[in-house]
Amino acid sequence: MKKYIVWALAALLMVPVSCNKGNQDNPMDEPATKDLAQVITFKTAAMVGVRNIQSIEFTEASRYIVTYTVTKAESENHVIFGNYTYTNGTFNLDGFGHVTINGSEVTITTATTGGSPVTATATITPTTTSDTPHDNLCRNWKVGKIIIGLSGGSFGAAGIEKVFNNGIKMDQICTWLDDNNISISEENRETLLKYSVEEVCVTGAGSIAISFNVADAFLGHYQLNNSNISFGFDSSDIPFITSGQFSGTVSFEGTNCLVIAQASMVHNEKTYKATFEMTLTEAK
Amino acid sequence: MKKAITFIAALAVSLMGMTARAQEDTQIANHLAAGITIGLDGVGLEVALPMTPYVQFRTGYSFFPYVYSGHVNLGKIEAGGASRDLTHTPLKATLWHGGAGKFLADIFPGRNTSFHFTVGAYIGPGKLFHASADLSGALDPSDYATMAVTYGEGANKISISTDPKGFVNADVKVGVVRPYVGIGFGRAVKPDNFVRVTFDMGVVITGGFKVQSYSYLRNPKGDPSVLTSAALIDDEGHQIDGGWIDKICGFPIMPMMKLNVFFRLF
Repeated sequence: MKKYIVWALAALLMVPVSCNKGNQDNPMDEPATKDLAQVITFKTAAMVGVRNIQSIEFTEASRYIVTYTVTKAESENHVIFGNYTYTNGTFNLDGFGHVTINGSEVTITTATTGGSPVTATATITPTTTSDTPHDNLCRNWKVGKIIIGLSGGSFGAAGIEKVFNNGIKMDQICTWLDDNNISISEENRETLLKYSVEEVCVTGAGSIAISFNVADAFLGHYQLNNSNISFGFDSSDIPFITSGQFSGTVSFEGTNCLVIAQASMVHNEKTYKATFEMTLTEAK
Repeated sequence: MKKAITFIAALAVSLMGMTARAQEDTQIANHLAAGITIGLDGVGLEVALPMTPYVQFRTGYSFFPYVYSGHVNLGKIEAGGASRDLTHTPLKATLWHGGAGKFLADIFPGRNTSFHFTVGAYIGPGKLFHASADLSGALDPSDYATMAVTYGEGANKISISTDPKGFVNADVKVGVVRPYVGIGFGRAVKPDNFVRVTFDMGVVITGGFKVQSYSYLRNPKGDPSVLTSAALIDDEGHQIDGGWIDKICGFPIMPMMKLNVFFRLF
């Protein structure tokens, strides 16, 4: 009898253990460089070659984002995006150079400086993520399936939706838009057709960087409140998107993330509502 | 000796009494009949089991054997950058797609009455009407289940795409479990008769009707979107149907009538 009671107690104890496993809030691994995540904001732009470096962000997941202007009067930042490693107090930025931090003094060494280090004063803000949605979202993502929906405009109360199974490839999207009489201007078309999204990087400092197969990246900023997200991009190159702001929801299933976001678009003076449903998988 | 004769006589009388009681038909689960049915639920098979002279259980399955097969003119549409001719689109339509199982109990007010009340339920997919249009010949296979047309916004948005084989599906759906109440005439089992004809009429509680189409963009099994009056708006945002779709679809019952022919198995 005792044996049965012991077994019954053991079984009862197993129940909460099993439940806890099923209810785990965060099944994802911690990003590789979470402890190194920080933003360097230069008090006066660091002149490196022809670039006026405005900021350098080291993300939670081994990526760096450098923003710069070419002329001091330029208002829109250009973006350099890539991988970094950290050894012996030095950040090694692939394709850019090296960065060392000593208090508020930041030293940048790149090929364009001819090996001569450039030192500038900066504000250094460590990045922390304070809740599970941020912990889950702040990493690198590959775009898998995307469903784009368009309604309003010339469609009236109707609309169209299309699945793209292999990420965001602008040639496919432009062809689909063409097929539905929403043609991109020749000026934009030439450039855009070559673009496809390589990676989406979300950081705890509130940045979203989208890198493309060509050496280019868009930088944007987001706000996340539980599952509600809003984001916009600094670049004015994104065709049609006039609201400058996307809003929607984020949800997680296992190590996948589903983002559903909406934005307004204008074409031929008609306003369309665009919906993007992106399934993201983590990219290390 | 007298005692022995008296005992044997008493035993014989007792045994005769027992035999007489055994021959009397108690109708307590001692008969079974199988039958065919035809009615508003289609055609079906039923098995009837009288539990007492006052209660009889029936169970079975019914389906609609007729499938309409023809062509419809859906016009010409622009899709995938080309004009698609849908003027001769093959269409199949049927009622009670997937059939329904049924569990019914007949309650007789008297030991020998033919009239009865019936309660029970129909259980099945609940597709009162189902139509499937074959667009596989008109569309490019790469467009199957990847391209949808939508109407309306938000929770009222209707989305229609082909399934992964190129078919567009739509149906009128009622509840999966549909309670039934009704009256009827006739007993499925009567010990003296090999064949019995019975009749049922009543109402099935559907819980309302849903006119729905399917989009397969997110789910290969299809996500239904329900047509509501709120979805039927014109380009200026005015309601098109005056609320009639909601009124008709909100009607919670539908009639049921069927004729049954039972054959006594034992």
